[in-house]
Amino acid sequence: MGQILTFKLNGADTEVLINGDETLLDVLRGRLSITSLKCGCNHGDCGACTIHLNGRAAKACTVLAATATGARVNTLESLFLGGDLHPLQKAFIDFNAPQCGYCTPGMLMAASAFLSSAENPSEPEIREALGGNLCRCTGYNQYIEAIMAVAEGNYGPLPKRGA
Amino acid sequence: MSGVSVHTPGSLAELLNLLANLPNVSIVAGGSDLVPRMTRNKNNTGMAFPGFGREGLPEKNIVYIGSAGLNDIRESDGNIIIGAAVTITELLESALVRAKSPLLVEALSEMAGLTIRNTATLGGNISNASPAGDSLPALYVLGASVVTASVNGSRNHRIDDYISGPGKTARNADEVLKEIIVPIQKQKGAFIKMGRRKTETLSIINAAVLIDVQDDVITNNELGSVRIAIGAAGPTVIRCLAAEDFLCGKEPTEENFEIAGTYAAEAVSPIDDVRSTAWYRKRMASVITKRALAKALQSAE
Repeated sequence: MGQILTFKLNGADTEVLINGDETLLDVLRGRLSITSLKCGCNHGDCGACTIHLNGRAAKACTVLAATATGARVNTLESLFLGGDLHPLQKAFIDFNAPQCGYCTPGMLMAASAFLSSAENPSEPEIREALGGNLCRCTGYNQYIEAIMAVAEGNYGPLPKRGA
Repeated sequence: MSGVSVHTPGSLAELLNLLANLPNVSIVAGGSDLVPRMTRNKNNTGMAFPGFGREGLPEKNIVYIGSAGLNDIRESDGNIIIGAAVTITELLESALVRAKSPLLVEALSEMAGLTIRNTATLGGNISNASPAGDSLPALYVLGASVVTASVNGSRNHRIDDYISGPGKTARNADEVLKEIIVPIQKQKGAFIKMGRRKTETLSIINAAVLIDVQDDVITNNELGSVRIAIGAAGPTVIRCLAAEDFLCGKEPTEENFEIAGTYAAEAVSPIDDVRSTAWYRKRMASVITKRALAKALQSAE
């Protein structure tokens, strides 16, 4: 049964026709062609579809699209809307963090949401925040080191939550 | 074409009217339990979910409660009142909850991972009524209750009356779990979870304990009343009454905690499943009871 979803996608007012049983992942990838978020497990375990829902990291496959009515939804594209790479993206490149790259968009979205709300996070706190993002190449340490470098300010200031 | 309609009521009154009038309703808050199960059933994979057949999704109404104003956390008459749509992250960030329910904070911090906690709700964890729900042992020992509401009025349920089996609660089809009432914590508590990894894992077994240390344990080296609840080791969370009775008035020694653990292992009735075996869970019931008691007393010093 079709219904209209109205929400803010990467800052732009967006309207899309959806079915009631579709997840935010189904709608963003299938109907709006935003393919930065990936479908890994499709049941909330792997984190490859992590987005920002009203400023916080969320797994798009666990969110019923119709319940995002009026919400602010940001995907990876929002991180470089200004044209320059996000500090985390620069650090990921420098630390050779992505291997196959499938988990990378989710890692970026989880890490950026966490860093925009955490003051001087410790390494265990970063590991905890990224606990819901699986990397089957098992390149976890490079990701954590890159995020630590950004948290320590080596890549300049970060945009704050809600920005 | 799916036959699923999602309703997003803008107030509690509108929500209750929908529940009174719509057939085949599932209620959703954050969605982290319901939505993956819908997806599995739609794709004909994984476990079946009551109301969603394996052959696909039948005509179905889903009512979202996140827009209906159930988002408050407030203090009233010695209790913390938590709206059914409050997320786990909001609870963990609440100064009120942090100050007045440290055991709940300890348990919620161990739930899932940060990303899931951002959308998942305490009301959802209760409504899902999984034997392994990580908030439940803490709610049992804290003496929490829930309020369900329909167009005909509200009902109060003690948490252990409300949850009657795996996925089963006392909620009627026209009711919504409206709020959770958690008495302010005056005792010392501890929560322990055993999982296969640190985050995003379902408990193999979990336990919460609450020890009244207001005077006795300090003056006479005797334990006051003790409450012990174990999850993922029976059809619902299990209160270990024999262990509790044994400990009351005893010295808080390792030997006594060991004996209490033995009682706890007798109280549980675990099963074999994909996460663990009944054999292992029964042994671990005793171990985590002992550890949780020691941890609670450490926090008392």
